[in-house]
Amino acid sequence: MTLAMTAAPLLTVEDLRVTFPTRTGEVNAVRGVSFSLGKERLGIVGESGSGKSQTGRAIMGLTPGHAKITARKLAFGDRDLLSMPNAERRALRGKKIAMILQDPKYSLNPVMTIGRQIVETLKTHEKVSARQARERALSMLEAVQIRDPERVFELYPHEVSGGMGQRAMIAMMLVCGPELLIADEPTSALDVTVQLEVLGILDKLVAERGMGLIFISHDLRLVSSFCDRVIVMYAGKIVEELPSANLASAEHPYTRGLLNCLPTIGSDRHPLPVLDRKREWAL
Amino acid sequence: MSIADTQLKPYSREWLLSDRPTSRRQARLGRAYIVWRRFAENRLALVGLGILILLLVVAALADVLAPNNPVVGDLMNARLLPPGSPGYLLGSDDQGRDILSRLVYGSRLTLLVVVLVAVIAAPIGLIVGTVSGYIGGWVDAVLMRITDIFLAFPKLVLALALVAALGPGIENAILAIAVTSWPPYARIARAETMTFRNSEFIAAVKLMGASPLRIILRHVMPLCVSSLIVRVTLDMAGIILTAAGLGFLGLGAQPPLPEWGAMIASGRRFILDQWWVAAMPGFAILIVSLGFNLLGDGLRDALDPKEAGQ
Amino acid sequence: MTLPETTVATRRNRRRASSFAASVLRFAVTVATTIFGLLVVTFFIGRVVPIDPVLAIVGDRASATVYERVRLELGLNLPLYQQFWLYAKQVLSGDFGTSVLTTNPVLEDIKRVFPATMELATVGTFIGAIIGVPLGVLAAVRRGSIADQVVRVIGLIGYSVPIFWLGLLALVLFYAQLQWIAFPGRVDIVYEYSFTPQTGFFLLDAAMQGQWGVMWDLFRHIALPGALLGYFSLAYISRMTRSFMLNELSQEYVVAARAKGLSETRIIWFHALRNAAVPLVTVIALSYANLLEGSVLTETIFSWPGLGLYITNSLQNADMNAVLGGTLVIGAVFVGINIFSDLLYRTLDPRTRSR
Repeated sequence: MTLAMTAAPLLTVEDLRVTFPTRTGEVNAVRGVSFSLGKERLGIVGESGSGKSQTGRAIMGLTPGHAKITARKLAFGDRDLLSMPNAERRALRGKKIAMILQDPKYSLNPVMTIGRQIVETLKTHEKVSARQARERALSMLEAVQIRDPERVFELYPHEVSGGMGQRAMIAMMLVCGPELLIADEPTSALDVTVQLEVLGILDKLVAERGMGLIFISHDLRLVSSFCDRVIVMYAGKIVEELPSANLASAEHPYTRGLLNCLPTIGSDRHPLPVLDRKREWAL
Repeated sequence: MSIADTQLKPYSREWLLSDRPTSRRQARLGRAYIVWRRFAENRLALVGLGILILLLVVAALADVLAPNNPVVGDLMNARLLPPGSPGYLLGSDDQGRDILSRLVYGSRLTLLVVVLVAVIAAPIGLIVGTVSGYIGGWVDAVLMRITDIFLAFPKLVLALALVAALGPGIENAILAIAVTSWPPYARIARAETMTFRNSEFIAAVKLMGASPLRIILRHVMPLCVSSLIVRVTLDMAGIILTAAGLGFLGLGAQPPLPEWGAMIASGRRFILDQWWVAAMPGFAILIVSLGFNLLGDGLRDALDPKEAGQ
Repeated sequence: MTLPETTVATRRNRRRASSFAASVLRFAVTVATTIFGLLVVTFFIGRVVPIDPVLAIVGDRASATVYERVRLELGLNLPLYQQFWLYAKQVLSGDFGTSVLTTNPVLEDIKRVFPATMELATVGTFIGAIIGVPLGVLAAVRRGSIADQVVRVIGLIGYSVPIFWLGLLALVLFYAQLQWIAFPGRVDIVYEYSFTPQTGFFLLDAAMQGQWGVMWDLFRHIALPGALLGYFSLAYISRMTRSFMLNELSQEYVVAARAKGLSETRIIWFHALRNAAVPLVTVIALSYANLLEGSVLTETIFSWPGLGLYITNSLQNADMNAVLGGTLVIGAVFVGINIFSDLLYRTLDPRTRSR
């Protein structure tokens, strides 16, 4: 037991449930998810509709208003998130817990320059002068390896490439130095080569700042190489949880099915197996 | 529904909602049923539908429903009676005519205007729009320029000018309004056409040797119809208001026809003391217009649920 | 071997310049063809549609000599396209014919009355925007609530009510019964000469000349017709604002803004509305154009001496030159406003600016 473990873990989630009322009945997006997170990297893997994104948003408090969120415990450090007043929760967002979204084409405000959007995060949470804010924004842009930060500062989101936009988003969300980062499919909208660059930057920043990371993705291989632990979700529940090093010895048939679908070099796998869903996984 | 559909009773609710229809009719009726259900959930839309049905009933049964003669009044005894007078529920005008009866018969004129304008303008717009959207090129450019030019005039003003040239009368008013109404339909039809002009099913039909005429008529036009219907319904309110405006200026149906707009104009003189002569027809216009707007909104929400939201 | 920076830059600039020139040319062509189309339509209505175009112009009380003269002037024996050419030349040089009613050149009449309509439309649009935009934002933010329903009903009634009828009733209430407002016209005879009309906007003139007594009277005259048009305008603007805001609030950047910890108020007004402002500004410009149409009947009710009243008066007196002249001017202004709003859209949306 190290010192980090004796204090409350960074994030505690116990029996989280997210339900959406729709015209045709209730949709249970997340059905009793539990895990805890320290200063480590956790990957949440699942297909569309598995509830992985909704889990991330519930932690942030960004679920749409008409949804119902319950949990036995949802705590950041020793602060209970569910019973917190809205203003307090909002103060945490961006400052202590941050989230990166998937596609910078849509997740950056199209009518504000990149610099202004980064400065805005700063000004919301800290008392800084305009000049200080600008300097910190510029240094953050440098930290995400944007070579010409002064120029990019003045650009609009549609004027930069996807990879640069995503890096700007990372800068915007990390500029206040949060402790926990939730990355919701951060590279899914990028070209493969750019993906690796952005992941590298994420890797460096998370390591440098000692942040906790939740990496949500549909890409099992990506997550397993990037994270220490992996959680596999299916139909709103966790079906498997294991350290990524031990992924090959996964037990749940869904995880095994996913692993089987991945082609491997050196082996002949004709035809490539397809996931054969069993009803009991969704129960 | 994984049970075999042969077991479903035809035209029952489950039959309509089945996701594996066994005939084209079943699919069509099923879709219509779903749209109807969405529509019926919207109370205001039902109110709109109710108003429209009321209008149709009143117009059809005008002879039965009107207590008095709408054209010939009792000048001697019944001039400018207030609402609630015996035999004159909504009062009478300066020629002793029962306002309620005039409103009832006036509904026929309103309906006539609305139906004729729709029947003239919508097909013109549909044809121009689909041809323009499908053929493209200079045909498209020319037709769209013409459409834009008509759109460049405010509807009422253009209708005014046309009726001024043609002479007052309800036929001229209808023609004038129809001429100013078709451009938006052309634009909508063209926009719709262009979204699927290059789609695969059109390409498939072309490969089968269908002529452009056949493609436009049998494949393109039916797809534009639903958005066109919504737009026409939404426009009806505006058409009624324009017709009323023309009537108010004396350019629509000529006296003694009980056109609602003209009734407001003739009641204007007495507005201070006998307000009901001008006020009642306005309420009628308001209610009918409102009905069409509600109906149109409801149709649009039912046919395109994304607009309505959850 | 890469080209030096300067060459690349000049090539890029040249390309930008030529594409800019191309778009200007395209724009000029569009405007020209639209004006041409307007002329064709008014020519058609004026010369082709009436059974006797001469009668339409001179009126039925003109003498035989006048009739003959006008008939020759119009060149009705000439082929249609030559007639049109004559007509187009006339109009483009500012000759809209003479009004039967006022015996002035129509263009002069229009120049005299148009500012009144503009003042009314400006007041109406102003009211519509000031009230309509916040209402639309409210309805969008509180979607489905009572506030939303109320705003939608207000808008719905605005779309469905005959504006001239509402004006009549409002006149009875606010003028006859309550005597809160003044009627008819723009200004009382008493005050008519206390200030010098310069801009055409009486309110502005009186304010600039410090005539506060006159201003109050002017205000009392414009209040009701302005409010009426304002209601009309806000029905449309609030509906469009609501629609745009709903669209913006469902975008990902709003989620991102919330993730940054921004307050909902800030997100609504500085993020969502700022994005919605781009199409909204064009909507407001178009609503101005709509009010030009609404003013035709409103001016008739309030005896407001603007272009609308001019047209309807000329109509009642079968003064075709005046009617067509007025129609043409309104059409041209309509086109102008549409073009303006298009340009406005391009300037405001950074996505279309740097292309």
